[in-house]
Amino acid sequence: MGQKLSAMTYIKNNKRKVSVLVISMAMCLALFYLTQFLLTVSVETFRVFLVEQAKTVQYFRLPASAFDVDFSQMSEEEAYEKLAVGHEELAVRLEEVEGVKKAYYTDIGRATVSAVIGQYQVTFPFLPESEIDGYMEHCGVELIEGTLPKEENDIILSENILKNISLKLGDEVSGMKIVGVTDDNYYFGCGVREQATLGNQWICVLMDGSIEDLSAVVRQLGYEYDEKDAYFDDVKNGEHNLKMDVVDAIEFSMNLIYIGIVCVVSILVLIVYVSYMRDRRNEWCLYSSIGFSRKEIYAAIMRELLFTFVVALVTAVVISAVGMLALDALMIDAQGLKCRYWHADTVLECMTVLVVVMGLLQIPIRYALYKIRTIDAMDDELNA
Amino acid sequence: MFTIKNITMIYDMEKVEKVYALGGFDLELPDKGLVGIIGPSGSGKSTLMYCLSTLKRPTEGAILYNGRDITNLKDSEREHLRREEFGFVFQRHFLVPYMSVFDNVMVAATKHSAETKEWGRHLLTEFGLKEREMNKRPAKLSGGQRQRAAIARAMINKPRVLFADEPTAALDHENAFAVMAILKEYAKENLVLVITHDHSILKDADCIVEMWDGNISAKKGRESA
Repeated sequence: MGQKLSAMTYIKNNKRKVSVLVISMAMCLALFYLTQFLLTVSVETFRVFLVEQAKTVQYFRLPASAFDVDFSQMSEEEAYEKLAVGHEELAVRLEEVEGVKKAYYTDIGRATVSAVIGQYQVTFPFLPESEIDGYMEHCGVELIEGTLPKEENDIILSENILKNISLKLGDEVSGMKIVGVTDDNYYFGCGVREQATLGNQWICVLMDGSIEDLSAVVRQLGYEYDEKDAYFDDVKNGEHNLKMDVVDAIEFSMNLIYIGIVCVVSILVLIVYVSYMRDRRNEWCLYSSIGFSRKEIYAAIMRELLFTFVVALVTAVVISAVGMLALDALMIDAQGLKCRYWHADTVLECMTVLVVVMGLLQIPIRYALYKIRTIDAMDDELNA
Repeated sequence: MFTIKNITMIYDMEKVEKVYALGGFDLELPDKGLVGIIGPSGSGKSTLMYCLSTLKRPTEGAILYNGRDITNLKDSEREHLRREEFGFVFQRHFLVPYMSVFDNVMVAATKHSAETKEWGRHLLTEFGLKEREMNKRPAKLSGGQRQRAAIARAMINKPRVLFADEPTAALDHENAFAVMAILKEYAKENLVLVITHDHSILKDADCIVEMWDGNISAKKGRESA
């Protein structure tokens, strides 16, 4: 057979109609992607300190029973004394474990980071002044403003945390004074305290990233304790918490939004496209009469649709990119949050939306093709 | 070119009272020339054209086109014939409203070569359309210009048979004769079948077939036409 029916002729001559389809689809897809982008800001932000930072700095506390301390059997002072000795001994033993660079018996502070959905606490240690440099070097952060903490309860925080909690250099919070600001790669924090506060005894472990389950390491050192009485800020728990508290919570919202988008796009495109098809019945009848098969007409319609969908996808990419850049600059970075521009799974879901819509459109298209008559049959209908 | 043997076309086959659009007749049509098929409304002339052009299958009988029976061809073969061998001018012009006149002509082209495009422009120019009118949409043209564009579309593939159903029905006399002059010219090398109920436009026909009530009432050659 000869020349194919050109898809571009319709598109070129009906720019306004095609634009309506393209823009409505592109807006829905971009909205979906941007929603996903915004919701995952929480995941990306919390992942930094729950998982990424936990690869090099981990915190844990064990119940008193792990150090053979029973508060009912001894005085409180005696018990705390024994706990301090036990923690110091554990810190020394941990430093002998492969993968551990340094372990501190320390006190910790927490800063609450709020993301688009939810909030989480970043843990940071209070260390002796002499250890601050080494700790910063291990974390790979640099001081960009102010001074290193020198006095008791002086703290330095990363730019991210300060932006998020709306504090600045020199501010005081909960009896601590912010004396320095570090760069924003990490949710970093560190303060000076020469001794751990009784009742707030933690072990801070600096490691090379090879240990994911610190709890197992501690058990290997011979410490027995009930799992529910201990607290570990390690990679394993970080990943678990991230999944349970953030990812799973967002996933439900995302699924709802996804179903909504699929429905909206489908209904929108179906209504618009069916109205366009009505205007083209005579055209398709003409093609059929002059020798184009239904298959060729169908192929031309599909080429038109495919082109429209591809343009909609490209437009959605542009709108999403501009939207993400704007959101990042105005909202995400301004609040010291982290984000990720590329979401392969969302792109895949967007493609699935298009496939679903394309599939649904087959119903009116097939029906229209079935209703195509050659011009003699149209004459018969007129005469009937 | 066409040999028609005992062609019958019955509508409403399922009804007790059948309607015979074509009542069973024989007819021979030449390889070239302007053939007019004339008759009142309901005489079966359009049905005959649709059967000859493979748009309809007759209920009985055979239609031989260059010696080959085309009544029982597969759909794809019928489509091939309509695209490659036949051209159509319908009673309503059926120009696609959103396309330019030139695109409307080219939409039927079996090849989109530069040569075909040139031929399309040549046809439109020959039919009195100016370059700027070729780029206009059909709604911007007069009835006569639209019908001439429809004829150009029918002739774009240089078909061996051109079917024209009431090509002058919507035209004034001046335009009607202009259209017939175009068809007459094309009929020098090809077969042009014109369906009409207007005797006056067939004064130059090489052959006139008169139909009445689904049958041929007379067939006249050029001398007697």
